Amino acid sequence: MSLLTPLYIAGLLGISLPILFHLIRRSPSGQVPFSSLMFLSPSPPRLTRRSRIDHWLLLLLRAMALLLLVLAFSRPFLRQSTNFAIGGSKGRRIAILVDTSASMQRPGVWKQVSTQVDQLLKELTPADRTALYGFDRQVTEIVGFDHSLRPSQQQRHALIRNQLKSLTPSWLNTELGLALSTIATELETLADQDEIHVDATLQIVLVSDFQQGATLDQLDSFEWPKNVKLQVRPIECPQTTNASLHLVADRTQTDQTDEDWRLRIDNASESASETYHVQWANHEGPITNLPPRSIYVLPGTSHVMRVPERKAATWDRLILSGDNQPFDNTLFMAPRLQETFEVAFIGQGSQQDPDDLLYYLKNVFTGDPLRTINVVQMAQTRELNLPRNIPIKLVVASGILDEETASSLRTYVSRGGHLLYIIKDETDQPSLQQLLQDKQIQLQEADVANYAMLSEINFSHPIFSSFASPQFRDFKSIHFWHYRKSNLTNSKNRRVLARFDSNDPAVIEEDVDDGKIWIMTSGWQPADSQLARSKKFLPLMVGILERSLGILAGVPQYHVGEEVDCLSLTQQPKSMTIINPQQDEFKLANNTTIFDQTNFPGIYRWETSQNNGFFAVNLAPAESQTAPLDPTSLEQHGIQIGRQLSSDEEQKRDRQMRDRELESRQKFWQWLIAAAVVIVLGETWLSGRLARNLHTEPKETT
Amino acid sequence: MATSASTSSETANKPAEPGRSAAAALIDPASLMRIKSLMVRAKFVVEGFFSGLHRSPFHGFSVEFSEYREYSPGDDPRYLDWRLYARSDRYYVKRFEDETNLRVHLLVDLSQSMGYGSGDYTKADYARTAAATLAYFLYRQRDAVGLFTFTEQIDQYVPARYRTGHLQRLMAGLQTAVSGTGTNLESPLEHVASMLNKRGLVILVSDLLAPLELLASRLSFLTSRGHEVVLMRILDPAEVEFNFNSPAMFQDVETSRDLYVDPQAIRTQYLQRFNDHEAEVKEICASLGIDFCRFTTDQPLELALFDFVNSRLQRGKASGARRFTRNPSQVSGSQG
Repeated sequence: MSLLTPLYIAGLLGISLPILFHLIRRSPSGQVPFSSLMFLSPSPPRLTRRSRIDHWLLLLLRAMALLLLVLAFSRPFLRQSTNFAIGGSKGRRIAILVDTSASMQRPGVWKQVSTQVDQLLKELTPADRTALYGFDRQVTEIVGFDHSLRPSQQQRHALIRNQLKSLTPSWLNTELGLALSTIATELETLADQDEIHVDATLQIVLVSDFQQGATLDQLDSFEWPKNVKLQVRPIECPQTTNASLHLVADRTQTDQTDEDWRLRIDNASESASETYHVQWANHEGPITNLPPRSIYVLPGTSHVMRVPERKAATWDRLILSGDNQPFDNTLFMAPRLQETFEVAFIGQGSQQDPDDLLYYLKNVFTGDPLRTINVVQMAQTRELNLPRNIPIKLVVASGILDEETASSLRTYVSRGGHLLYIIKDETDQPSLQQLLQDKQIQLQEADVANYAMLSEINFSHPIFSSFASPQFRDFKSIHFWHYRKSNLTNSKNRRVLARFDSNDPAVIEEDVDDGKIWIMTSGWQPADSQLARSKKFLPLMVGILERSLGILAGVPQYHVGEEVDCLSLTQQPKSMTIINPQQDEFKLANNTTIFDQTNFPGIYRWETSQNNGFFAVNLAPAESQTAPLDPTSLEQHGIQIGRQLSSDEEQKRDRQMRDRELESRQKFWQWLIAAAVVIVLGETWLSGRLARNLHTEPKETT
Repeated sequence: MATSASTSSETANKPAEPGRSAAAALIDPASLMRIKSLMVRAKFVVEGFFSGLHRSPFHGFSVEFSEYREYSPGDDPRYLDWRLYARSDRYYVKRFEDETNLRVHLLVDLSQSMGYGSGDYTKADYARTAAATLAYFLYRQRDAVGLFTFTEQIDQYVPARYRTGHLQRLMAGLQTAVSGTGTNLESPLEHVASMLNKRGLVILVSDLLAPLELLASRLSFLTSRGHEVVLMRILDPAEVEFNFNSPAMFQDVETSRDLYVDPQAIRTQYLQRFNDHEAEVKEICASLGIDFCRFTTDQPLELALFDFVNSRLQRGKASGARRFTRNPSQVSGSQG
């Protein structure tokens, strides 16, 4: 005889209750009216002196009825066979997926990973096969399923434990959806390939902090396999106060300066603190001689502020203080180094004469806090090709050039230099022919009836790109009184960037080996045009200068794990070397301009033969959203949450189901209930009879 | 309930008076209570009472109610009998025909606690009958009788009169049912003291089952105004002896509060508290010169009447003796 619900047997204790009540009942109660209780005091209940049982049969019947009821509720059944066919010990395939994203760098979080994995390994049976994967931005196999072929379970588990010890969280963001879909697919593929364990159950155990910043987009388009279950083992962070620091900007706008950047301070919704401080720092630590700026941010809200003034070029990071999760408190901003270079002018002219080209050139290249530009009038062009302390970044030439000058300029340009040549009149034809090494070039003074205007401007070219917006495109207000007609047309190395309204070329660009020559068929001085006195002149010249500098003005920002297009850093990323914050050097291959080793937040330095610079890599903002995600939200993506049963557990479940089936077939409980009803009826009859006898007896007078 | 007359200490100490000798022929209170009409009950008791007397109990006592009364400060001087003054050189007040001898007020407690009775009738029944008997008795000797019934406050007031039909009015007043949620002696006594301007006799009929903190002061309101006060305490034999056997929930008839009590365990304690309470009542009465007599509801009412009359006689003698010691000349005048 077995019981389906043996816990109900505890109800047998109820049998003792009638006996107990009988023995320790209080004296017969009943209300006695009395005039006043003022002289009375309460007496404690007295146990009756009578401890013998009066009606044994009645008691027996009641106890029997209770016993039968208890037995009925316990659902007794007769086990017909106790031997169960021991099924094949089918094991589970368990992929342990450990979150190694940046948010796991939080204090006290990573330690819990090994505890969780240890606990999981203890729950496994020898038939189970396990693999260990790490994931952040991508999934990494740390210990594959092959290790499970090792003979001893202890060895297998020791391997996983050892590998886990050497694992550390990265700085990358959390692609949870990608990781889950990848592992689920892999498990399914492996199960298909495995011929031995055909009926193995598939399980993913996810050990993660479940931060809200984890990306689940990948799961939207993924159909979760029906035979894979996901067990979630969330890790809780003991520190809840977290604020993070990020830049608010269009990162494609690389010409933004510090003043254009905005900072956003996000305070997590479960934070206990509301006041934070932001201050500049360099690689040695915070700048202590400046007081930090205090910001008040309510939990769950953000605060946007202007970047504090950077007073030294070496200040390269902003530090947030006031929370207890420091992993996302540093925002790197690449330093912008002071640069000094020269713009050489070759030709006749005076710096003081407002009718001269040089006068305007001198005034347009005045420099800025990060650049010191010296405009020098150069007589000897030989200097151009000699090593100099201060590099010449742009040469502006005008008028007739002698043969030697033209030759040295050509050499300068072919070595990567940049030349802007302004044709003064048609007599410049030989000089131009020599510079461009094209004997076909013809120059002729144009016959301008009234004035000429620029048209057909190539706004996609970097020189004119600053005018690309519709509000800046209007060049009609700039009148040209004189210009020179030429037969320069578009060819392989030559491009006409702007034409006059008569369709004659106005600005021409020619590639000469590594350098460039720009030719303007009209000058900017008042004798030729209104260009120098127009608003367009300054941006145009700065565009030409930056094109010749080969470096873009702004400092691009990247997130950890993002690819860096080196063309956004310099125009010539050939043989570029990139040094990461850990001082590891990466040489960029010749056939690529993409750098993808941005694995750490910090300042990266790049160097080419001509230039060098910095770019900053910061933590992805999503990684700072550390508020816990509800694990059940995964179910919305069709994931089956739960635990696959081990073979022992399945056997137990099968046995239980068989018992239930047996019990439902035998239905002893119905007989027991019927017997209990009969006994209760008998008890009612007997007690009624006894009560009648009691009434007929003479009352005891007190 | 057993009907054996449990003689209290009061009755046990009584001298063998004429009424006492007739005790064997006394009417059983249980039988008396079966008579529905209060008037008939009163008549029954009083007539029986008179038939048992060999001489008038009023003889010495009725001198107090003579036509001439000694003048006392406060009496209206218009009623002074100057001729008598000329004759006797004493001041006497001449009474008019319609002025009664004595002004008696019966204060009957009809609170819920009086509704308790261990036998067939309650303390309230006994108190009503006792009050009716006294009223009838006093009415017969032409005294003005008034009535107050009270619970926590005065419920009913019948002014003291001596006129035709007044006795019926009194009997009707006494028929009021018990009510209220408690016994409060202080407030009704204070009220009565403020209402009664003329001096007289006040007979308080109650079980006195209430705290006694303010009883002394309230009774002194009455005595200080010149009233004579007689306190008749009516109790049930069960209250006096507490002869319950089995434990039970005792319910207060006034407040309906329940208390689990094992009588055997606390009987001694009960009696101790009860006797202490009564001793305190007696002490208060002694200190204020109030006559106190206790009746249990199993005592024949004639005895109650007899005790009352006897105490009045005793009082008359005592007051006479006191007066004599204070001013012998006046005593001789009053006797003349």
